[in-house]
Amino acid sequence: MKTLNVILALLVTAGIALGVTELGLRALGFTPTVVNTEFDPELGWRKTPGKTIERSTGEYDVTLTNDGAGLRDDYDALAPAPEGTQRALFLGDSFVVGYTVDREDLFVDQLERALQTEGRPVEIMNAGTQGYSTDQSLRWLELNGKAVAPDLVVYFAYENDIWWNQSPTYLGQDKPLYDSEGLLVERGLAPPPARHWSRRSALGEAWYRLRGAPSVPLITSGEITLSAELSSRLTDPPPAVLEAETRTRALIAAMSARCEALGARFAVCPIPSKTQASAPPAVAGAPLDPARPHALFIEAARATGAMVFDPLVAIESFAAEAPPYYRRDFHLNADGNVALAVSLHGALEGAKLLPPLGEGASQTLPTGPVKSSGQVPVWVLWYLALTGALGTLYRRTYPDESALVGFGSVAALLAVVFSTGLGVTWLVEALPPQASQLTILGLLLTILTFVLFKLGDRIGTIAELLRSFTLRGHWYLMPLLSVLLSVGSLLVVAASSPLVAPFIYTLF
Amino acid sequence: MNVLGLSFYYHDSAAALVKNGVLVAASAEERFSRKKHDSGFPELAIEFCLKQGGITIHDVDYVVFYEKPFVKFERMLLTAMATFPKSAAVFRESMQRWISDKLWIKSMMSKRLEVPRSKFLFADHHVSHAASSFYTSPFEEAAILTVDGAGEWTTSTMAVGRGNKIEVLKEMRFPHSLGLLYSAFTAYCGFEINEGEYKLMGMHPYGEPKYCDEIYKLLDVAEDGSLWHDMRYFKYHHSTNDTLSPLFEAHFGRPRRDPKHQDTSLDPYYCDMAASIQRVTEEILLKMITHLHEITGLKKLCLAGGVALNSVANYKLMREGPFEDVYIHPAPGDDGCSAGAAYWAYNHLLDQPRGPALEHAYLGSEHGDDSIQSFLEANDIPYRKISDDEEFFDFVARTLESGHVCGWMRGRCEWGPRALGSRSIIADPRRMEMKEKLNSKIKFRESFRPFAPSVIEERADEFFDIPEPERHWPARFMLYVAPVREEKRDVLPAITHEDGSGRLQTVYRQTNPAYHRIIERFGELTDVPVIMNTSFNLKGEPIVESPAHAFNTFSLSGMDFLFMNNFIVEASAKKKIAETTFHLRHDGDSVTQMVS
Repeated sequence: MKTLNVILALLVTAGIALGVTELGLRALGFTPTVVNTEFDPELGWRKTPGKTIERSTGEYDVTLTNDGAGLRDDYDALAPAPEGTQRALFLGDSFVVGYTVDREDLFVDQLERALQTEGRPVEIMNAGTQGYSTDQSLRWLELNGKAVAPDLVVYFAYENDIWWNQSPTYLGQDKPLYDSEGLLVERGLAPPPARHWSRRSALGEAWYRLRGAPSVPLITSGEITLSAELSSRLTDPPPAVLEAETRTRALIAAMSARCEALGARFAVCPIPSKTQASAPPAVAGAPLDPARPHALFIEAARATGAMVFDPLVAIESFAAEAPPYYRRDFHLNADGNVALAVSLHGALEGAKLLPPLGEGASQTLPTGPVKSSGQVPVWVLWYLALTGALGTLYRRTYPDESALVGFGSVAALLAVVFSTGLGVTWLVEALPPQASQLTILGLLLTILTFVLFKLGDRIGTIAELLRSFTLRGHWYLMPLLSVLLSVGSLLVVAASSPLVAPFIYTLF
Repeated sequence: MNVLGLSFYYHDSAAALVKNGVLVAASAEERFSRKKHDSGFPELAIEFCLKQGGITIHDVDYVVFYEKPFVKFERMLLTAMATFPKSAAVFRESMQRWISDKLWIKSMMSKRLEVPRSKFLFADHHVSHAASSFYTSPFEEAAILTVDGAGEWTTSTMAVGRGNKIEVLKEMRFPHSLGLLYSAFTAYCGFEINEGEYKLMGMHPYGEPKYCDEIYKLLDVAEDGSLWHDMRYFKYHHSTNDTLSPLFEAHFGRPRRDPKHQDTSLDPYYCDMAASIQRVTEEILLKMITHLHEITGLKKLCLAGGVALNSVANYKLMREGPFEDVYIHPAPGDDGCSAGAAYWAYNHLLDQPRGPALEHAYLGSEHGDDSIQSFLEANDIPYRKISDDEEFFDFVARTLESGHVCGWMRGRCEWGPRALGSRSIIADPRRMEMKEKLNSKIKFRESFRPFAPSVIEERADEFFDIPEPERHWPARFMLYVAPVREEKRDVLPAITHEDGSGRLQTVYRQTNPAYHRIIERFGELTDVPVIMNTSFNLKGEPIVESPAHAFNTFSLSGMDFLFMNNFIVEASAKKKIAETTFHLRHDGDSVTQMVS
């Protein structure tokens, strides 16, 4: 029986350890990959109709819902626009689908809302899908273009599309491939292997990657080695990259031809990378030029007679007031999406592609970043709410003490806690983005080490307690014990500090 | 080999030192800290024990805690889970205490005593109780019964002691507890739990046991004396403050007595209730020891645990039970567990041979002539000293005979809750008015509470129904309430309780010659070798320890003389001195706090 108890306790303890690690990884932004796509024999993958997923990292929490047509939009099926309504079809990857923003912040929906508010009979169909390269956007247009009958097609290009345009797979998953003439290479696409259940967790995902999950290859040119997704930044690209660029040009030409066949106008909107938008222009002869992929798309579009909607200037001007990109993630944030929507609005207007303004209507898109000035920060509301709740609790527990002392003590203790939390947050934000996760990890380890140091021989007591509960068959209390011991350990450490101890004693 | 036993963090913290199998020093912390029922770390008591033992902490081989905190913590968690969500408040309160203090007892002791963790041992609460009684008893083998409120899980054990080993045979578990049942009725009758049990016992002769049947409806009592409470009537297992559920009061048809009344009224209903729970307690205890006798076949019995302080029941067990001899440790409550834990480690765990039986309870601190004289002179207190002992004893006896109430401080403090002639207030038991005088002007306590007699062992049987008194060790420690012989009740009106009983102490020349001689001399003068003895303290105050405490209590009360060793201080010398204070126990204690 003792052996069984020990085994069960070890299992429960391991479960707790895994749970804590899982939470830690998620807090650090290592979230498990959640998918809202399914295998498609023509496209490689497509968004599953009606599916909703939540994506959460330290930087954003978004909900992605697919409509009945398998788009992040509001359609039941793929069909032409209603009579009298112009349809713009937006093709592209995660920038278009809005993989890191909610729909209300996504440039596609912002622009559509603005146009409709202006009384213009226009609707925008969002056909973006995460991970799509140019070839998949073209293939989607070939398969569905006739059904949706667009008046305008805008392809949103991003630098990593270039590399994948020469690859028959994307991170191990089959995808359509076009040759350098822009012709589809006919072959059957194989469905990906079933996704292992463990990959629903951050730990499982981390383990999957550690075991050698398909990853982006590295490209070397001279002394420079970099991710293949960024390889078009090389000013002297190797042959494989040149092949990818050639195919990209061919794909844009094919897309242009397809649009012409559908009777739709065609435009390319090259989304600048964060590096391009923030770095100074590369000097002549430099081995890397972050603006090179952007220029390639513009050149390819112009070569086929397509329009170019370049949002670079708008994004750069927004960047002067607020960062348009996330710190760690490479996508546009809400402000960047506003910039893109404003830029597109101007471009559409400039190209005279929009119906006239409705009577009495006016421009509704913001002209700059959406600021939260004038609003009370959330942490202030939390601070006040906690002070009120804990202060009341304290007063009810110790009715004989003055309200001033009770609420004052609680407020002071919470001020210490909040100052520490905000200080750490600001510190992390002040550091380079690449170092932020390591910084948080380092801080956590430092705190843990400090706690262990302060606990001293109490660690032995904790071990004895766990052993006692295990041998007495109460392994199922491990979760409760873990919480109590964690709180107890923090109390012990806090009480050992001459600064914090008075508040701890007051509160407890 | 030196083993230090400790009990603290619950109530009555104490330290005891067993040196090569002999209990050389033991004291409750409250004697030094002046906090009644002090539950804190017994720093001062430890300091005293080491000093008394002539050793330092580094000479201590093992430090033994009287309880297993982890097991108690387990009980707290499981009980809270079983009664959630009703237990939410008690869970929150108890967890605050546990995770901030009680869980880290070993670390705290190691740090404060500067003793490595490897020297600490933990005994079971009820094994500590059992050890305190068996290893200090004169019995080579004996059945052991321990009964109290609650230990870790256990509320009662039946065990056997043989040589230097103790084997637990049976146990009863929380929340089913005879001790807690008695405490519940203590609360119902308007007294403070863990303090008022004495009062309930003192109240019972004023009533009739009319409600026994109603009490039994709250319980299932098996033939072996084991209990099963109907927990619908109680709240102590999930409430922070309340012991009784509304159903309890509805069952009896009367609300609990208002604690504010204290001794201002003796409502017959509550007196009857006190008599009833006393009867039920005695009947259950009798079942327990009868069963214990059946399963062990032994002739000797050792009793321990807080319920063993019920000296009325103890006497009945001795007279009506199946055992030939009964032994009870002078500190059968949780304070005595410190000694028990040390004995358990020394004898049972370390397999060392047993030491001598504990013939007396004078294990506390002592103040010599120099200390007393220095105190008196430093505070400009007029005194005189009769250096010749016989002359001094004659003076004391004559003072008592003339109707004076005297404070008596001499020798080492008593171990346990009873004053046994080292820190006592003494008076003439032949004078009826003494009871009223002591209650109202000196002790300031409930008028119905009785006073105890100290009688020389040689003539105890003459005044009390206690044949062969030398066989009855508990009487040495004032743990029997025996009938005063019919013909002597008029002779001893001040110590004869309502039902004709008296909680006697048999005094031995060998163990306390001075106190014995006072009583003997008083007997020579009056032909009554009995004196009235009550603890040297005021209501709510720990028993005095030092000359300063004694003088302070003397000054605050209506005593006529203070005797400290051979020093005599008269009432005219009374005055306030600043250094001696004591803290009254806080109100609102509950069973929950007692057992968590």
